[in-house]
Amino acid sequence: MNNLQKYLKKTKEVRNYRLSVYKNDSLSIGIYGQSIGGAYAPISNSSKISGDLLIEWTDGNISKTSITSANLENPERTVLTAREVSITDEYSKTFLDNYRPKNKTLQYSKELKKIQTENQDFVVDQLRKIKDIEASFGVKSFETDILASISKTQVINSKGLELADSFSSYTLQSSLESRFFFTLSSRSPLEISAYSASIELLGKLFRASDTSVKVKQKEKIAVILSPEAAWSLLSFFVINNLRGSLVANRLSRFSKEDFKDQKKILPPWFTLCADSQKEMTPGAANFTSEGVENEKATFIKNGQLKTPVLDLKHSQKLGLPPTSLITGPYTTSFVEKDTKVDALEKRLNESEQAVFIPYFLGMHTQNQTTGDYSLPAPYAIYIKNGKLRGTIKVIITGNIFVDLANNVKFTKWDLFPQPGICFNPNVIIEG
Amino acid sequence: MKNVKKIAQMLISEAQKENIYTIIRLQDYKSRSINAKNGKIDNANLTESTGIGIQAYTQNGHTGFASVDTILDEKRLLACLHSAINSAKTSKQSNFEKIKEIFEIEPTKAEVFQKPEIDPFTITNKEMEKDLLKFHSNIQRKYPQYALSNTASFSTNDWRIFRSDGTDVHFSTSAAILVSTVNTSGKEAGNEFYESSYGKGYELVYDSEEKSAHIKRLANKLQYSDKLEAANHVSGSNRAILLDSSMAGVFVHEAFGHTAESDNIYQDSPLLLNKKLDKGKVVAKPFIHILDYADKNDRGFNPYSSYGIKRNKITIVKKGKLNSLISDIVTAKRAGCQLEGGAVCETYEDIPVPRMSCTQIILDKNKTIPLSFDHREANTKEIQKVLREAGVFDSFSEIIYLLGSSGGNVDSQKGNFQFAATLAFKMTKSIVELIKPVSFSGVTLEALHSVEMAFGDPIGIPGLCGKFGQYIPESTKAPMILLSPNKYVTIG
Repeated sequence: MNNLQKYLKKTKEVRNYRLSVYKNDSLSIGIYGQSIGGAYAPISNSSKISGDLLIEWTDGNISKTSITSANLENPERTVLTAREVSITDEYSKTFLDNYRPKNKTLQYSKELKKIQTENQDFVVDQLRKIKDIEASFGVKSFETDILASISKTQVINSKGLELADSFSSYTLQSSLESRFFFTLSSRSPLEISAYSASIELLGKLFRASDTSVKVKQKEKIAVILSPEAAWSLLSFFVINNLRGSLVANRLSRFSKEDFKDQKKILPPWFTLCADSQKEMTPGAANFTSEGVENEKATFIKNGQLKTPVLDLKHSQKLGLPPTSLITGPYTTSFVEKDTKVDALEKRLNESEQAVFIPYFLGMHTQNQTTGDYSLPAPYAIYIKNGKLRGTIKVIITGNIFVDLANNVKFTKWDLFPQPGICFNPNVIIEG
Repeated sequence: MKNVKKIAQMLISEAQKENIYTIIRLQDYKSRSINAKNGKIDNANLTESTGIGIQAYTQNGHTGFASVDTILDEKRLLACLHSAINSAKTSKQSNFEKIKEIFEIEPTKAEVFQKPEIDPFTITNKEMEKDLLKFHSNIQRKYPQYALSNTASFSTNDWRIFRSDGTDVHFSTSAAILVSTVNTSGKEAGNEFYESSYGKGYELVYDSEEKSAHIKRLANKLQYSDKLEAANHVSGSNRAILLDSSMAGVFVHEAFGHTAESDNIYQDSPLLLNKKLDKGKVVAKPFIHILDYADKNDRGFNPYSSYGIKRNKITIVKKGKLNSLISDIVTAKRAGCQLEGGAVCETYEDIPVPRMSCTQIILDKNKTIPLSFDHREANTKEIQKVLREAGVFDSFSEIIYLLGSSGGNVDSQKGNFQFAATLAFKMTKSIVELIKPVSFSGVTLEALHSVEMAFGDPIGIPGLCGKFGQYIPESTKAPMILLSPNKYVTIG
């Protein structure tokens, strides 16, 4: 990094630059089928540098290129190549002045570093435990991955900005025969036993999914979305439409004027906040890859639009201050703090007639600007009088901005940091 | 990639000192993209990535993997090698799965290059800006009321694969794609419409015939943008469905192709019986054939697998019967099928898995009605006329026609699939009615059994396929296909 920085400094044609570099070392192991560490999920180690270089040239043009260790090894070629791909881009000339961060939170665990570098046994042992737990539910074919990684981010620019941060990350992803999924993430090594109550509920749901039931649709059936399914729906239709790059280019459902008018788009319980500096939290960081400090931000307050999610370029284009970014479910919340949230199990037990949807197929195929959805759930669980009766295939249809306005309730379990939702879309029972 | 042979040989001999068999994968990837939004150049990016992935095997076949993002730094390369070796040894101590099949393949030496006619990396940015803006303004002039984004992306992917048995396979692929995204915003809820063209290199940008067809296809969708809000929603199963070539392509890729990948022996697939290829199983009517094969002009061309094994033209379904799987060295033998060389990895950091290249569905000539036009550019009335003349409405009084794909998803273990159509129409002998866009979902084999006839020649559609977190370019070739009503196939 030093060599490239030196070269940028001495290149006369370079007026300003920003260099963001991310160094990552990781260990991953998985189970696929019956085999731990087998052909498709062996013990893997990876070491990689990635990042971005932004250059403003003296002729006013801008270049953006990716950075790898090859670029750091050969600064002259890197700068020459960047020069060849420069364009006119008035809004990207955004180089922050040096500043002292107001806050600095810890995102790094030494214990995890030890696991990543020396202790594969810890990970293998966890995979075995998960396999045993899932086997006790009746799972016959397994699919779980664990990734332990250590990384370091640096952002420097021509105005003297020099930021650095270290991260550790432990992620466990598991699929129960493609019927149910769960992902656990942490900045430090996590113990699966800490989630035993929710995993037990997952087991009950999995066992129930072994039986198919036929249901004749007479009346409207309530839908209970798992927290993961609810998050995927909201991030697709709501968070995506807040992206500054879409708002600034009229490619979002919401316009610049909608934010100025604080347009009401959802009911009052909907407040979307990001706290991207939360200590030891997956997705959290003290600054963005552009060097913007990740302060707490509110994007939607009581259903009213406040600000798009803005990087430096689109903050300049829209004439609004940059914001921290939305970096996933651990740093984001979407319900007002005083909203009543029930335990998922309680909600299932108290449902007269409902379907529980663990996940949808094809969220990415929906049209995010209209808010219209038509989403199949091949492994929904039918619930009658508080009992899990078995699997039915359903398609739910509706418009998210309409459906969230009517009688929504919330649930939680500790396998996901955000709540699930219960609502009343149209339900089509398949087959 | 200079001196890579020397580097690979050094690593292979170092591993041999410890009786370790290695596969060395070197990748040199380059991509470039330029984007225009609403009349101005908005973004241009250049990405270069070079690195090495090392798969180490003990003599018993226990394996470990490591990767590093350099091919120059000897110290880091050796550290990467030793990390892979140590992982293989740990795998042995822990009694993990053995992959002995790797020792049974014959050494290969080969060089194949998919070269573009015009190398996009030789074009100046000024020229690229000018060319893209010209195309962009051609569309913008027609639709000044809408938000428009155009992106031209180009990539070259150069692979060199060495194995301890002397294998040295060198191949490269090139891809170009031109994409239009139109958002009919300005109203409360603007719709998003999408069109793409693909090729190998910068010649795509000079291809005025394809650019004009691209605009026609886009216009054919945009003509309905104002009518969508008032359109009715139609749902339910047991309906005759006509899929346009992009929906039919996604259907054959998502619903069938993924279930035909041989790594499913670790999980399950409707095409397996006791974890083996259920060869001869009737999966479709006898006039249907499904292939996976990309030639040098196709997106998804991968002449060799990531293990350095020649990729075959794979006939998955022949005359309606299951024939083979998209198999790799790890699972071909265990799945009881021919080794087809189907393993692909996205980057040097990834483990190869069986993947599709260009998946194609072909119906016999006597089941295919020729078309004198490209149906994607045609008015729905013309499509209705073809169906009427073919007597389709005599068998099915109502057809749901799905035009333009927004992608899809499949659970390959059980064959549950879902695809979304950009536009949908209800057609009878005398009426064509625009309905709200719908999902098309169901169970793979049930849907395949319902394929009755085709219209027109197969049309190539570009795509990007994700599996195990790895995204690779692929394509499909399909005509328009008609499905008879089936209770396991639903639109909604």
